[in-house]
Amino acid sequence: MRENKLAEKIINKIKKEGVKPTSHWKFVMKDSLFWGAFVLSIIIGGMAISIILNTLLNNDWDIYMQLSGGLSKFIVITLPYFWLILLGIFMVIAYLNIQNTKKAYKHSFKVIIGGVIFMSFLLGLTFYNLGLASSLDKRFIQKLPTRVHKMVDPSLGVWQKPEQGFLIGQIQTLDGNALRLKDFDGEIWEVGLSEELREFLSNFFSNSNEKIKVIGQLNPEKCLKCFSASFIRPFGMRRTVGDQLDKTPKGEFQGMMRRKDI
Amino acid sequence: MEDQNIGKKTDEELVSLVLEDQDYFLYLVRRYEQKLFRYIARISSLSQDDIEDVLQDIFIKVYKNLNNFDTDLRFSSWVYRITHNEVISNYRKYKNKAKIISFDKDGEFIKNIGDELDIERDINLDELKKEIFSILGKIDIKYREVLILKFLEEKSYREMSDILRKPEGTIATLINRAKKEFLKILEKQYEGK
Repeated sequence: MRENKLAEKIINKIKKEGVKPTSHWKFVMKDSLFWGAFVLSIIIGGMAISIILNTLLNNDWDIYMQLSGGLSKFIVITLPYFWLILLGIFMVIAYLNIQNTKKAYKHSFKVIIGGVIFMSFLLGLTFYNLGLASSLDKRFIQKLPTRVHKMVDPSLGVWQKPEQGFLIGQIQTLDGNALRLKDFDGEIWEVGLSEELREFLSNFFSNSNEKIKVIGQLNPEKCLKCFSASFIRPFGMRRTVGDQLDKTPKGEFQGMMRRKDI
Repeated sequence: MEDQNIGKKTDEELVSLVLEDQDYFLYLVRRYEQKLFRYIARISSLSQDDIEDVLQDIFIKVYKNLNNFDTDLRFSSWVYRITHNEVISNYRKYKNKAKIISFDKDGEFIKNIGDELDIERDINLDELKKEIFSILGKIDIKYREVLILKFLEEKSYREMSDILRKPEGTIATLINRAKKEFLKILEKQYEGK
């Protein structure tokens, strides 16, 4: 019979070629790799979400009018696109990896992608509440070269408007009440500080190269690149430092902005 | 090995035996070669010699992957899945070799699909048979395969889900679409006459 011949042919081929069943551990390893890659993608997605939350919640919502002229424009120019794209990429990677695991096919695309988004958000919220996002911002993202930092956090770009009273840059030196700041275009600014701000800066920043946001006004009488600081908004750990700054009556700040007709 | 005792063993028990002694694999091959031969013939329309070549590759893959057999599945679903993957991944190659689909002995299929699709009874059975073969030859492989699994192989939704690695809901949708596609082509063929 044809079928018997075929069955025997197959067995003979297996014996002749010394075919052996692949070891169980290799399949376990392969499955574990897919699960590992899935978990890693969810963790990275969670980190991206925590940074997105940190960026959005600590965005300069109180002065969006002054910074951009309108809420929708402010949202468009300050959305953390880099992290949103990274989040999207890792969600796709997570989806592709889970699809390769043994039982995933039983669930629909909607269920799997919903689960991936839910897990990433849950992890992102946890990371955010644990302070991981602000710690990452402070320890890693701020240390990036300025060009990369601006790309990662586009909200910084709106601060590069010294003529409108907004300055952003990296501390070069802090000597007495004079702060030297290198802006994102590489220009060096002499920033005049009040005693209170000087004290705050020297206490808060242990060394130079930290990046800060300054609100104040140009001081052309003194020099071309001179700026008088009224408020300082540090990067990272914004909430803690912000609390200190928030002690300044809000009305006074807003009044100042109106007086300057920004 | 006593053939009578082997016949009483489940596929899953046989798999355990094969992992201890490869000679038992002969019995697994015998259990499935006819079924898989027919299945490949139905979805690919290859010649007998080509199907035998494909079957050899499939059974060697089955043997190599025995340690990956998930006991939550039915062994038949797992073997059909490997067969499906093999045929689909080489479909372009097989398509060129394909002959006219032959369902000569599948009268039951004609009845099943005819009832399911509610094809009008005034169509002569021979004529219907001819049309069905012709349509299955024309229909997209993804639809042909679900129609064959459902109406010829008589697999349940769960088995089809395990074979095609798709959720049961997607299988139901695919079957509905396949039926619609089938009827559309059937109507076109009648309009052309």
